[in-house]
Amino acid sequence: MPELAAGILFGALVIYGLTGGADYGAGIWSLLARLRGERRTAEAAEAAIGPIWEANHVWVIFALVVMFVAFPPAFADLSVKMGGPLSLALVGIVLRGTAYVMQAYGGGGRVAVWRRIFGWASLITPFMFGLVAGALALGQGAEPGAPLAGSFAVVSPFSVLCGVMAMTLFAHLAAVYLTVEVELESVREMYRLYGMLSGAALGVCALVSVVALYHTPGGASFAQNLILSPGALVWQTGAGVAALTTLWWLYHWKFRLARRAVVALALAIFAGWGASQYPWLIPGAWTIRDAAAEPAVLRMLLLAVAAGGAVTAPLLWWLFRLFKGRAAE
Amino acid sequence: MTDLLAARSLMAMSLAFHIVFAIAGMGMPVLMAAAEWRWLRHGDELARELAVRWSRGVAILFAIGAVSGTILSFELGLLWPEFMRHAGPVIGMPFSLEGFAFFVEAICIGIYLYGWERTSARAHWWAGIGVAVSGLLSGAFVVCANAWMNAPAGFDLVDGRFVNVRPLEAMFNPMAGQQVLHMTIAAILALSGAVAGIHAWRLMRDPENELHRLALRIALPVAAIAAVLQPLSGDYSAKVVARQQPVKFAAMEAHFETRAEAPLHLGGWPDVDAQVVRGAIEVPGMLSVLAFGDPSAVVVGLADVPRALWPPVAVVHIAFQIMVALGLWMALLYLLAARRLRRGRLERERPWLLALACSGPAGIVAVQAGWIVTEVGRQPWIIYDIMNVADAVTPQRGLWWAFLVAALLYAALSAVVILALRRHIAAVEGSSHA
Repeated sequence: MPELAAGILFGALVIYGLTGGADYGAGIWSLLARLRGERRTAEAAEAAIGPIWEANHVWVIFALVVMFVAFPPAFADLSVKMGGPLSLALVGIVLRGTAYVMQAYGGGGRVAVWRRIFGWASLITPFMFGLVAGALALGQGAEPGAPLAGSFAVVSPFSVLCGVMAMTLFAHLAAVYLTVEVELESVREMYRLYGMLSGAALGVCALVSVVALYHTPGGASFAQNLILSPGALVWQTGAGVAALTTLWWLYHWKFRLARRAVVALALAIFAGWGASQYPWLIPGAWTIRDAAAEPAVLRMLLLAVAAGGAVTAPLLWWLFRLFKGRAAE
Repeated sequence: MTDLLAARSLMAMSLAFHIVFAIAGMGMPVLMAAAEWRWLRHGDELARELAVRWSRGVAILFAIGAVSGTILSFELGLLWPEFMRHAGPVIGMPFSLEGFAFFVEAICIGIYLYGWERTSARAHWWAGIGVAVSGLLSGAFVVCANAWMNAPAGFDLVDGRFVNVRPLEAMFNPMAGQQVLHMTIAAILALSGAVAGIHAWRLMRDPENELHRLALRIALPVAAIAAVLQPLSGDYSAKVVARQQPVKFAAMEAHFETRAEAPLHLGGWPDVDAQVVRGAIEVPGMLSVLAFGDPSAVVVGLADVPRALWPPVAVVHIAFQIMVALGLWMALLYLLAARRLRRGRLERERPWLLALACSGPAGIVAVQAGWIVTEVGRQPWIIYDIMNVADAVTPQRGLWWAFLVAALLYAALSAVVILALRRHIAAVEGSSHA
């Protein structure tokens, strides 16, 4: 049962990556396009966030709740050890939310400023999430000693690269989604180009991060898990194939197929990350089983998730059908 | 400022900020759905217009509320990791259900806001009902978790560890029913009172505006019903608190000496060192009646409890008096105003409109005061009689930096809300004259 709960936690993170991640990505493109003076390209990214934004945002809260219910000591340690970067991620979320309200409902002359804040905040939060994931993978969540408020001892070349990779992945996801969603042909072309560029950047990040891993103290054993264990190797290869397939379809103007491939790419990256860490929740400190709450708690959590899912899923389907379905036609 | 004080202040600030938006999320959809129902039922186009405009206001409040709620869910871990380590699994049930309720609310609000043209009128109304029900439920779930901190149940304490967790028993703890009832009514009362206040204020300038008149006709009866029910639920709450948390009860009433026929203190300033209340009106035996329904019942006083376990008595007592006074005032005002409205006189009577406008914030102030009673009244405990707040706080240092940054962010958020709402109201008026 602990594995099942961990699966739910992981699932929530994956969905957050695929949906909320694309919202961060859209924010990044809006920022870059505005900096380059491409108003229409930016507007397309901003329009994509509208109705779905609130719903996507819920996944991260859901993941937090599952974690503290099912794996309370891991949650407590994570909050203490990664307090600094998590707080900054939170600041990013707050700024994004505030800026979103001002852009969507505020009107007036200051919109440009808020748009910029929104864009920068869209960069900060995924970077911090990636940083935390990278630091955890290196086993820094298990290190004793002073908590890391503001000190940011978790910063290492590898964890920074993980942060950059998270940003790049989300930007890539958003660009490929947008090739399907936008209506203007010229804007679509821009996102095709951005999609290919960000895909290439993602590949470079991945390669550099492997090199960085070998030069990080304590990194080698994790590198072995991440790259060389048979299970992980499958996912890495899968990610590579999916990345190339995405670029291939983008190049050939097959955007729907590219969208499928990019989702597969993200899934493979997440799965590879999960597989390399299993059975650790916080590598070196808490395994899934050690951190798990009592069976009675897990049982009720699974029940609640099943019941909640039964209510939520049809509504979510309705939401996406109403808004994303039509845009895609 | 010590780190503990910084963590406490940060949490208090976050809760006080969020509760305003929680109230809006719980109460506003009820009014929206009522307006839309009027349109569906009677074909009243003005009512549809009102629902659309209210819903835009809700969108602003909901988006900010989602942000401030996210802050809280992070802060649970970032500020109180030791509390979450032990309590997380026990109160996980209401929190996971709240997650889903919030999810449903977010989905339905998306459909409601952007779906006017994309779905049938009836389906759209149901989306509004979805927002209202899930909004009220998510509030109820969170309050269940808070009630558990006041009346911890559903686990056994063995060597400082919380074992044999019984999630349902924890969720339906002895304080849950009372707190949920009181807060749900409070949210609807505070919100409909505030809405009635805003529209009354606008009517003073523009008494012929049909939209504001309709808004008042919908919001005021809701406020009146809630305001009449609230003192009854408050009386029930007092009886539960007297049994479950006698120390909190004694602090609320500034009741120092354990005795039968305990008097009720109206107003006054508790002199904690002398253990008397100065300048209060005493009603003999009334406190025993309020607590146990019997004038001869014995009410435990603070003097029986070690001083270290007292909450800040003056704060709790005064906050409690403010809440009760505002509650009684609202019951009187909204009942009389709603009766006048039915006779069709209210819209042109400036004194009444002025009273409603000035009382607009009363419900929100009462909610804040009530939560001060609940939270400060539980001190020094984070889990009543089990865990001290000081033992729950994070070992992180430099928390006052976090407090400072957060204070700035909240100031920015508040400015954003006020700007956006002002622009929204101005836009509504501009177009309703056109």
